[in-house]
Amino acid sequence: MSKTYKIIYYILLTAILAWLLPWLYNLATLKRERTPFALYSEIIGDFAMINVNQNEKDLRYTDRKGNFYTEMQFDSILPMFYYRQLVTDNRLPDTVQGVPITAPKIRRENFIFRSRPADINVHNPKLYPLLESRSKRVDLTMPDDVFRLTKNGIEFIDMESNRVNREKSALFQFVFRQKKVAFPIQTIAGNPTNRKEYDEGYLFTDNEGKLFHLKRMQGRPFLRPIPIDAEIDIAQIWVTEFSNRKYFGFLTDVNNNFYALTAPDYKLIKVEIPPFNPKKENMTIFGNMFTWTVVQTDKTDEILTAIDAKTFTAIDSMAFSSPEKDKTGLASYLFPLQLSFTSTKDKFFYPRLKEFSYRALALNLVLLVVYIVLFRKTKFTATKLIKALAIAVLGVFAFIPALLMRG
Amino acid sequence: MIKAILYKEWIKTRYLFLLAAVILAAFTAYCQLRIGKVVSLRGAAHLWEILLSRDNTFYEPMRYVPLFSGVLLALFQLVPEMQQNRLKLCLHLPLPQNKIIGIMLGFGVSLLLALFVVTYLIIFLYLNPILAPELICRVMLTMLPWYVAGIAGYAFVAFAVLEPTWRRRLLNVLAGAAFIQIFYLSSYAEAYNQVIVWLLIITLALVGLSFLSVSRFKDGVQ
Repeated sequence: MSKTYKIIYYILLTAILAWLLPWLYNLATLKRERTPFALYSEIIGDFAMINVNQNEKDLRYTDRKGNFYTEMQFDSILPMFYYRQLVTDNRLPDTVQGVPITAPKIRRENFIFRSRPADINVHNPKLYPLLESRSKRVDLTMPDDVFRLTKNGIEFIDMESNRVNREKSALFQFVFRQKKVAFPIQTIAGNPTNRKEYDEGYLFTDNEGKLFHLKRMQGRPFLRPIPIDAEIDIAQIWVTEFSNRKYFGFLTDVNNNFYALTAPDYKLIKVEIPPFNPKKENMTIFGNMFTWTVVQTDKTDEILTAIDAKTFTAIDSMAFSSPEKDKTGLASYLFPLQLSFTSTKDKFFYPRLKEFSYRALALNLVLLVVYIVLFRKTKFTATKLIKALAIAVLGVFAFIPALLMRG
Repeated sequence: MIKAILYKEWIKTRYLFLLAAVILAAFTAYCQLRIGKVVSLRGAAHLWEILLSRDNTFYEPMRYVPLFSGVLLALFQLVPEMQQNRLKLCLHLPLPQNKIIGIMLGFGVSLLLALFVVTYLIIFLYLNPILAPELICRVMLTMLPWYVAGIAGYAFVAFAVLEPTWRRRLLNVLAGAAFIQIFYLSSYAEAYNQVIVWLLIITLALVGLSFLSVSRFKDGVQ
């Protein structure tokens, strides 16, 4: 028994070190990496960016051609973003690209859309509040019930009594059947909060991949099938609810194409950006009435695409690659693998191993020789052979426990 | 003989068992009072909204209580055994050494499990009329790692206390601290769902690490 537990303890210590040593190394060598803040300028027809130097004091306003701007000039070349400053300074132009603009119009048309993998890779309770979207009041109010989607239908649960509201469930179920919704529902998205201007309910795909729009209007169900190309297999949905009311939502398909579902005509239009995998990449869209600056960030690169807000076609693009992020560093020579349990990309806990680093094999061999030399006078046993093999593969993680447990 | 060993363990741990039960009950009651207050002041719908939109479960004050119970139980049960080498007497009983230690550890783990299961049941019974099953599951699955941490706390304190040398005892404490830390790495609701069953199995298996300490004790390692 104790022999078995000796090996179990050895494995446990090795695993702990495979987690803690790389963690400590990363903590000690952590560097803040910043890419310039960049937006597409409709005035200069190029990306305008703010470069921040190491001490974060010296801001340099520039563009890709190498022109430098003062802070005031920078406000002027990005009037749709810095319009409040321009209004304060009485410098807001009357027109941009020949289109008359005013501060309220810019405010209404501007939007910022953000998607992070950690918001998608998460366990959510499958209960959805359905707000009244045609409320006679100015402010939205949270409903007193939530719905759940079962294998065969929809069910409303009254929150105060914790009981299924059979009447309301039957009413919605009837509409779902009428519109030929195939259960179970595959993907559903909405923004169940009353901290927004208006409510567009939920967008969802059914078991046959058909797209629907669900709302509650004056207590009645509103369910509309949205015709989309049969070849598009929707993977992720976001209901946008921007103040410009131009879009119902954004969607991606299984091939990582990105679409906008326009309002009020329910047209699904592909946005011309590089493939976007919302489960792995961050996305921020700075949108205005002329262009969107779409920022996609993965592990190493930040890709910026300027999109025409009317046609959804690409105007321009650029990329910032971070050599630091891609750099393997000293860690790859020290640690053959790295164990971690959490990630910024999701809200799950599970063991994750970084790719095996062959660069660490040299150190592993050195440690193996040290181990053999240190224990050359002791009796050769199967346990010792296992430890030697472990050191050859796992290096420092297996070497330290071998020393600590030599007694 | 087994009965006698179990009685001896009960004598050592009965007051601590009572104390742990009171602490667990007090914290459970406190958390449930907080929930009751939200329901009475803002309505059950507000409670549902919080549980749906945040990682809050209302039982966060209980995070370290099971761990604390596990650590205390191991200390109360096993420190007396190591004082004046009383464990030696125990190991001379006409039963196999592993069986004696197995009974002692099994008693401790059973006591902890009994406390945790009862607390869990109380929480379930309290939430059942207020919340939908999806939300009850969310609360209980979020709390489960804290209870497994309680068993891990017991396992590693027993492992360290039964160890005869201070050098190895320190190593055991550090290994235990690192292992227990993994139960508190993520504070997101239901973060541990994918691995919690494995963590429970591994933790229960690690209770047996004490066999290693006892074997070293019997071998006279100084």
